[in-house]
Amino acid sequence: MTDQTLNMRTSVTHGIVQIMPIMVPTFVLGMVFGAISRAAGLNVWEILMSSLFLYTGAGQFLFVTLYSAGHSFWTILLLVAILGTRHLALTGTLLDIYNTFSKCWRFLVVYWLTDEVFACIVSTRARKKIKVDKPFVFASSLTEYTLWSVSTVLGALLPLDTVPGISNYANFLSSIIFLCIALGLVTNIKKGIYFLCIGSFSVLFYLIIPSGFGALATIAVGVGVAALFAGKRQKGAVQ
Amino acid sequence: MNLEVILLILVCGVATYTMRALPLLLSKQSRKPSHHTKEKPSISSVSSSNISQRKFSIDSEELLEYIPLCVFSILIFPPLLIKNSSLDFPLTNPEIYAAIFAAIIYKLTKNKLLPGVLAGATFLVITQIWF
Repeated sequence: MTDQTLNMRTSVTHGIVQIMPIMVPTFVLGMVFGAISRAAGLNVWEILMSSLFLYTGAGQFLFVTLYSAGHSFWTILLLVAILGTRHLALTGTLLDIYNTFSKCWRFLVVYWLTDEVFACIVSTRARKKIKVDKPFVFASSLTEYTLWSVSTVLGALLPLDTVPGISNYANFLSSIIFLCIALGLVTNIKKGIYFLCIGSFSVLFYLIIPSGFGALATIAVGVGVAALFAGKRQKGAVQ
Repeated sequence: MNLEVILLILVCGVATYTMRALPLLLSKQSRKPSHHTKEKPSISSVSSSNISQRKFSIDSEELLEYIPLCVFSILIFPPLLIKNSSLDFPLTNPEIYAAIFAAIIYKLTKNKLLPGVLAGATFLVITQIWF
């Protein structure tokens, strides 16, 4: 076996291992999505299609909620697209990794970029112990994609809507996983202040700006404040 | 299968994929070499372009450390603090305490994800049974 094959196998294994802790809430959320979609009137094939072709957890929940409430085609499309704008920031943050891949791979793996895959890649990159390369990104993305699709179908087939509060528990699990990963990225007080400030802004924007625009406004403010913070440090370094 | 649902899923999928791929398309465009700069650049223009490139790389590197935190704050704070479109007061919201407990355990175990998450989840279940 060549060194290249060995390295590729190691990267694939690392990709699967690193995504594993995030797979638990994905599985639970997927099952919840399947159960909710079934209750909203979608059949198993439609649920599977939404997982395979739409593949955005929050967007899929929004889609089902709006569809069951009887909203128009264009309203659903617009709101799902607005909610998807946060992916601009996800891809933008990982450009340095994606730009090392060939064109085909780049546009393939970005299809599988979700909050969970983003969390896995960013936390692994921050620890600097494991190389985040093409096989790593491919393995973690494909594992997450497969698990999400399977769990949504399982949720549609099992009588999960009888379990009280399962949706709340799944959402809470996701939140604390993201919290722990974010805490790993807070390496100094400045970043801690930034995290809490933008967190407060996000709550404020979600309360005062309706349907999906809250995330967009938070990202706009977040990028602006980040540019200010980054600029300040550079100025200090020059001095 | 309902054709309208299928069409809606596919169109929403295209819209979401566009959001994901747009930064790749834009970054590729910015990487294209300019056809107007074929003449040999002078020393001053080389040094100034090097400086601007260096300045850009420092800025983007710094930004890359902050932007993930911005994205995570969107994924963490609103789901924890907003319930039914209104602010759930922290004193009466057990999820806040469970999240803080998870964060403490995560830090005590030197950034191990699983103990932190399990501790938070267990704490939430216990407080909800207790109260």
